[in-house]
Amino acid sequence: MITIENLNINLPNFSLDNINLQIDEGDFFTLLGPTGSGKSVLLETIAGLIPVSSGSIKINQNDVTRTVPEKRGLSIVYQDYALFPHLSVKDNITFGARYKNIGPVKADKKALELAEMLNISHLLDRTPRNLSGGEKQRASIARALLVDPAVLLLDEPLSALDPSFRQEVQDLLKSIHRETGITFVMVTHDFDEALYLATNGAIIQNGKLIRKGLIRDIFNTPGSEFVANFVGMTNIYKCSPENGCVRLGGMLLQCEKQISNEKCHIAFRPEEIILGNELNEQESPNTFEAIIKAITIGGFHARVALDYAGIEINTLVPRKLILNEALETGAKIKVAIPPQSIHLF
Amino acid sequence: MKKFHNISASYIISGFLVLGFILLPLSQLIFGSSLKEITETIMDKDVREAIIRSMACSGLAAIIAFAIGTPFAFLLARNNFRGKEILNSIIDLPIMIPHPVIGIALLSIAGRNHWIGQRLLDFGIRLMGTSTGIVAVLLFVGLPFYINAARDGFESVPERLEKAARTLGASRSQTFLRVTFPLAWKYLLTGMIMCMARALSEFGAVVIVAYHPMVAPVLMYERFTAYGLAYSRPVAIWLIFISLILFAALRLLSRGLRGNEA
Repeated sequence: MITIENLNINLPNFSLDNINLQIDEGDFFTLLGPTGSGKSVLLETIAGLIPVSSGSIKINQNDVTRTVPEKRGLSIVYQDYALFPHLSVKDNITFGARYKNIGPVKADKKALELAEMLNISHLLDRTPRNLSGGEKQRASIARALLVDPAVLLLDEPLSALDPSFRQEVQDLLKSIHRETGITFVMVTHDFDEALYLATNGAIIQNGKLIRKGLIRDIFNTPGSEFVANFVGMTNIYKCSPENGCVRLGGMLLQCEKQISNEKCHIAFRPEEIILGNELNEQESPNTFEAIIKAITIGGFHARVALDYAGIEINTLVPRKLILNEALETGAKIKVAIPPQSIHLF
Repeated sequence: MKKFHNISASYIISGFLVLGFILLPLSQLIFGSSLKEITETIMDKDVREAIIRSMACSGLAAIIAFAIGTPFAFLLARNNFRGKEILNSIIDLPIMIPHPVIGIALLSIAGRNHWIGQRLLDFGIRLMGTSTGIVAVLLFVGLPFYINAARDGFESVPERLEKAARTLGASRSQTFLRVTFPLAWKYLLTGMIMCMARALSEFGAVVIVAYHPMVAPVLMYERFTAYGLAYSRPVAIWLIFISLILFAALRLLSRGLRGNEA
């Protein structure tokens, strides 16, 4: 569907270096990375809005590297909606019809269908300024879908939304993708969003593509300190292999995977660490005792920061565990890190 | 009056000084002539012609500024390139340099001794002592006001709107006409009003290029030097009055269109 080969972009203060990427037809693909990493630049380059310095972009086997945006068959949805403020919602949605040879009658019919699907039929005569964030984003998605794009590009479509609308639009994107079968390419810095919505993805760091593949694989086997951090593994340590285990401070941790003799990193997710005074080494390998440094209670979960011989370990546990185990700052608690939760790279 | 309680005395003094400085001489100008003098002045054919010429030449300068300045203002608003700040400074040059110098500079390239002047003469275009010369001078002094306003207008339109329009199938020019222009037009109109206002008040450069045919400021100067203050004042009153009506109408038109848009 989309094939990017040896792509280089040189902008005044930024560059994308040697990007190679394949996005399959009908895929929900995410471009992930922290702010300023270049993911939006790549998305706009695919759209034809940023000129390519070298390399090629093909869509359905056609080389579109030098093709103007209006001829690429893609449409884009921006984080800030980019609705035309001087036009009504309906005129926004039908904006592209005349350029895609969709007659006014057909465009109106299609706009109504899309508005119904996106639950904004009652807003068609309003101007964008009077809409909520969620409604604006729905109108923006309807506008992008009216022109029957081969690929829908989404530039952080959820990040400007209130949390109450975010889940709603997230579900909407998932159902539109399922129903239309259009290829979706979404930029996000939120790995949770990617995990929920996408099948495949790529991670970009400082203009370089450092990891690509199934989102679930990236999540489970990050492969580098940066990716581990990015996917939410807050516990990342340098350690050394020893007798088939890894040494972390004064403790030898068993791992599920084979360990090479080289120095390595280990990482584990805060939510996969088990806390409990009843834990024992026979039933739970990698059990040790640590001191509680801090407890931060959130909605349904609590973050518990532990200290084990000067090493800080962050955990995420159900809130009720704090009460059940009577956890408090300064107290000792038994900790178990399941071998299957330890990722090596 | 309650609103003024929280305003510091220094603001009020400052306001009085500014408004007084502007309004006192103008009110003296307006009330210094009798109704009879004012009526007789407008019956004078020379006065009417000079005011109409001033309006027409200034209006034409604003229209030309719109036609030639809009694409350049858009370029400045949408692109960052080396030397952009120098270009912006060049655009502001006509505001800074003494106005007689503008007249001399224009004449020096439009005369017979310069190849541009020779080419213009080949096409029958003469600047010295013609309405064409007046429009050229007024365009020169008014252009920075239009370009700056138009550039601000284009900068106020988020680039993402244009990008979204392009991916929806609109070409560059279609995007400009359907998205950028409708969102920036009020800045362009303000720029044209500013350009025309500036042109209308120009004297120093016009008097070098074309003493005749006379525009209103030159006529006022001539009446002042030949007959004194009492003869030049009614012409000034008419120029102020007509300008006020014209600019108020343009402002109202701009506001009315903005209201319809909302």
